[in-house]
Amino acid sequence: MRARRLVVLGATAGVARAAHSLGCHTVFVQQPRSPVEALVHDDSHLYSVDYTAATFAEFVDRVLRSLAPDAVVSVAASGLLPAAVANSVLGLSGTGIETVRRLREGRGAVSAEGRELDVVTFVTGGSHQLLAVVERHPVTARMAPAGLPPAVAADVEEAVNGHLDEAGLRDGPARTTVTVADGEVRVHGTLTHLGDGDQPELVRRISGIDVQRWSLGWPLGVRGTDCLETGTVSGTPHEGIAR
Amino acid sequence: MKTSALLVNHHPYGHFRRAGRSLLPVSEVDFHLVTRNRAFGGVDGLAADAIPYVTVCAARDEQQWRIACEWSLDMFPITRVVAVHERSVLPAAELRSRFGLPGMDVETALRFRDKVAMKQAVHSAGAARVPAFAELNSVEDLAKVDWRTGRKVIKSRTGLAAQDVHMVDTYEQAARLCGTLDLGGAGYEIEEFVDGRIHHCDSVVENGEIRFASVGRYIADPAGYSPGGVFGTVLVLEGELRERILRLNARVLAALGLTEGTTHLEVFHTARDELVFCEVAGRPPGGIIPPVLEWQYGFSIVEAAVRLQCGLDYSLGRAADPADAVFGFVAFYPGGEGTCGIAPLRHASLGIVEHLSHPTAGDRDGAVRHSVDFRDSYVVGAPDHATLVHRIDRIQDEYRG
Repeated sequence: MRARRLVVLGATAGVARAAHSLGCHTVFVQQPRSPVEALVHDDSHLYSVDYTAATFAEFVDRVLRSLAPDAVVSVAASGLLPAAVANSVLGLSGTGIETVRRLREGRGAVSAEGRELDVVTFVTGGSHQLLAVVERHPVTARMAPAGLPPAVAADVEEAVNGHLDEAGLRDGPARTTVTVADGEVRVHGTLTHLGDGDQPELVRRISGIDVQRWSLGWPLGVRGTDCLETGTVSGTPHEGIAR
Repeated sequence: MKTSALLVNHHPYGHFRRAGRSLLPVSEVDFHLVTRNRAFGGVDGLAADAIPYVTVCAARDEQQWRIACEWSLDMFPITRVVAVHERSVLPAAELRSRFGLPGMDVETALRFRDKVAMKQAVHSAGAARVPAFAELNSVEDLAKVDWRTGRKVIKSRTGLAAQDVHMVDTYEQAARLCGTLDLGGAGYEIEEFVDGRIHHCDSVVENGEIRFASVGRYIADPAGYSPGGVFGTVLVLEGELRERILRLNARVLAALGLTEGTTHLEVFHTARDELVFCEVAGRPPGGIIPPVLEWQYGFSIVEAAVRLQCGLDYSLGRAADPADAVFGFVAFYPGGEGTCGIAPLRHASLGIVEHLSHPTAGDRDGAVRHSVDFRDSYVVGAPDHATLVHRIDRIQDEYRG
């Protein structure tokens, strides 16, 4: 039986490492002039293709289809919609085009008032798991655990989950920006990726979960418990006990 | 506007880098590279070159290669298809013919890849003496062979680097061998064994004219590779035999209809002073011959092949100048006993001008994979032919300690 085959759009070296850790056959689709050597394993495939171009669907149909991939994913902002297009063309599971568009285009301006928070959740079959609530420090601009009172945290979680349900997000990661002012939670929008910056590491420290790995592997059946690192954290996501 | 070219590559990518320099004209051409996966070295060193479009495929998945190449040719204004590896020659020619691009077409490429079609063309044109040969598509074909004339060679019609070559002395041996081969795909031939020293002739052809040709003599049979074995070549810069080989080469290339490209021809020189055609490839020579030619003539035949196929001008170095030195190489296959190499301090006195090391040579079982699967190779120079041969002998003695 051949290994399951995962197509990753717009990977960085770190994302590629996470993809290889899943033990599947990896196929990378990268923008032209992107690095190659840093991504591929011995048997990886790679294609330099402008996956934001209108011709990408044809590439998927003509080239990727012949590889019979099991999933197409991206954790890069530029790759989310193309990944949804690829899954649609290939008839694979994954977040749908409309959901990605709705979430991408639904980001309202953030109010200057109140606390601005990023709420990281993971949705599995419509069931939400809160991983972390983080806040940008007003002076250093660094993201840090928010440390919310339980009642506020519950309101935040309810607002975020409702927003994602309304958008139709059934699976995958979500980073939702909210503001909390005078006890009122306002949702400003959601990104369905965590990028490759500091945030996945911060979430790992708070939740003990390698969210990057989970984000890449969920279409292959990888569960959150498969991405739980040894040395679990104490506390809860909204308390945000960093380790 | 820059030329766009599709490079169909089955070499390790390092094949296109020489002394820190790229042999690919990356500043003049936008390359769309289709290459082997990392396990086969297809991307090693790639970061050093500005290759805008890269496709990495499984080395043996021909369907994926074709799909990727056709996609690139459909979507981009590619006007050239480049191939310098034996395995790439025919696919590249098929693409040129299908997309109406210049360079070696599929009919010509087939004559260079199929050893039966090749020998038929050479024989029909009277370009060279050809060993008696026949297609081998079933065991029954063995009955049509004249076994009174001695040893025969059974080999793949499209084999490369002396892989899938078998010697048999009797009908019974041949029948047993055929039981282990898949003869159903018109993939084998049988021919008379020729006892002779193998020479090679490497050419650059443009507009039907041979612009460069070099003759060399192997120091061993390429088909005889084995653990602990040795191989090499010495260039032949003068003499009547060289002239005869050059003339034979010209007749063969004309018979095969080549008007543009680089070639690597092999010919037997028998004890009766006869030249008997062995085979010819429509690509630059492999192994260590390109570095030897570069030391001898001052240009890279791989670079010339790429530039020629890209429609660019190219250098032939000092090919027209008289030589004050002669070069060759000696290479050692992995395995064997007493392997110790040559200390760098000894290089100068042995005439070694370049050492190429391939620590990953050989397979996991210690076997040699093909005729250019060298562990250590040494390019050697000398003031004259006799000294070169003597130095290569001494290097063999010293290498094995």
